[in-house]
Amino acid sequence: MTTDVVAVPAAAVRTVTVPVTGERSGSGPLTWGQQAIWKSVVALARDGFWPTVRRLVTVSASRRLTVEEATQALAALVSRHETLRTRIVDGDGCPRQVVDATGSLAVRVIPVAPAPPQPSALVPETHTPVWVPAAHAPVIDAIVAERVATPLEPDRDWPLTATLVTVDEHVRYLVLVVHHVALDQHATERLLGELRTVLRGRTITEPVGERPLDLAARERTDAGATERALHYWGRTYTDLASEQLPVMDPTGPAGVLECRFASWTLGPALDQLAARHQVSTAAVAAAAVAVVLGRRAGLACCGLLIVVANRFQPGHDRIVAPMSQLGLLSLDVTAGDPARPETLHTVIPAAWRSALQAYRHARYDQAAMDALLARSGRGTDTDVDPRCCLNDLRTDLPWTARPISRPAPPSRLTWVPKPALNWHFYVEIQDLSDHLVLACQADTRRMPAPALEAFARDVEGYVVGAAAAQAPVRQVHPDQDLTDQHHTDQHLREGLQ
Amino acid sequence: MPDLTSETVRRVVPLVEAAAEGFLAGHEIPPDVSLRALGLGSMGFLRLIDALEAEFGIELDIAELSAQDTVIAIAGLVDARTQGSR
Repeated sequence: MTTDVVAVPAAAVRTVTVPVTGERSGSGPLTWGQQAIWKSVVALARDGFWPTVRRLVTVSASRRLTVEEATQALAALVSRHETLRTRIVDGDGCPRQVVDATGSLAVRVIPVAPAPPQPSALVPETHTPVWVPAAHAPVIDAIVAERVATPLEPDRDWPLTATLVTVDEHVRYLVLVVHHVALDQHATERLLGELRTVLRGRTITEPVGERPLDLAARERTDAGATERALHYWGRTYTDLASEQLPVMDPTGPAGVLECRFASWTLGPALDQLAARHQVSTAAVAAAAVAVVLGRRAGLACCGLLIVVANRFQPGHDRIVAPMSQLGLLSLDVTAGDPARPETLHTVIPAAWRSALQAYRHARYDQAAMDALLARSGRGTDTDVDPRCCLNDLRTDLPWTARPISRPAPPSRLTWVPKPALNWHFYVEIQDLSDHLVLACQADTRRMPAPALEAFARDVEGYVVGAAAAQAPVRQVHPDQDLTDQHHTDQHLREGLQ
Repeated sequence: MPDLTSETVRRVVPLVEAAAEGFLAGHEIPPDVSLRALGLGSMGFLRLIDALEAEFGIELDIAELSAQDTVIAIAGLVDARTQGSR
């Protein structure tokens, strides 16, 4: 414990070890979702990194949660979910999952002094925005940073690390840093929902979803999904340039930059366009990103890898394990022009159909896909063409098309140097409650800083301009007995894929 | 194009209802209205195509399905596939 960083006396930090007993042990091949994230793990390890899921759970002071209650709640979840008792080991060159029936969870406990609720601050190191008293934010931030700097070994360690931060002997914060091989975003939210239930002293009544060992066995009997995906990917690649984002500045400094572009108008504009076209907001975002990127790169057909949640199949929404895989979206962008925002309306319907294709063909055996990539020269064991990726992380989508507030705060742009990037270009859409962040990372020789900034501003301008170009008008059948609101809700709820 | 009383239409409607996961009842699904206009979203279409393929033992193209997204048109697609596979 680097107590200097968190300004806590070392003697005050303690570790509580709690035994965990699960229903069974076992081993087997990885699920397709595990294979997909494992590919990223291998790629990032090449640069000395490991992918994490970071979450902060706050507990009301009035709950007077004890350390014993918090550790027992965590142990209950680790007992319940095999993904949290799973190690990934090498099985003759092929990764395998090993589920332990028993073990223990070591939870660190760090006391901090009470702090007034105001002023408050966000904790930047966690993946979701949570406001905490300003005096506590640096402590939590340092805990996360320290955990991230201490990689877990997937063949030796269980994936969950937990730190409890106490005030006056009671737990106020649970700081969770989890190896990404155990959870994707959907699984994380489901797990946190269960954690909050248990922390409130309630019992989880819903049975546990399909477990990864069982899912992996079932997937091995589903050759049809992989065959269909391989056929689609192979066919789609024929429309895509082999080098989508060529080097623009060969003499410039090699490096990776992240441009974080915060917009208060982008989210409502995406919602309005989605409602207007009766599609998901994710499809609208994909359309805008593809047009802006494609036009910048001089492409007629823009290809994007998109992260697909794969939760639409029966029962899959209850699985606590990584299910996300990459989908391949290909879109003819010749009709789109960011300088003429009204053209986005022409592209959106095609983008929705292309997104559906990408979603439908994003479940596959990764080894079979890697073989296709190798045969076609479109990827390696760590890379996938077109090496431009869109990851739309919005989950808590609004239920109504929000108006754009006038005046909206001006967009804000910050730069973050990044040590490495496994893509030529990577865009993440993050929902921070009252605004969206386009987090755009790029290889600076392929997209130097000015181009990266222009990309983010162009996406915002294109989407907001298109929303203003035509007021949302919905075509509803006269006999239809349902409200517009209801329809819009369904589309917006389903925006995340 | 099948008529409103065809056996295929009768079998497609409950599949749409299931794909909508409770927000559309069978009697609320006019067979000649776009399912998108009725509120079926991306995940609903993905569930629907899986259900259609399982129910009728055929393969369908999601792009084709989403472009012809009334119950009548979908029944027509299904009939064309099933007749083509005979």
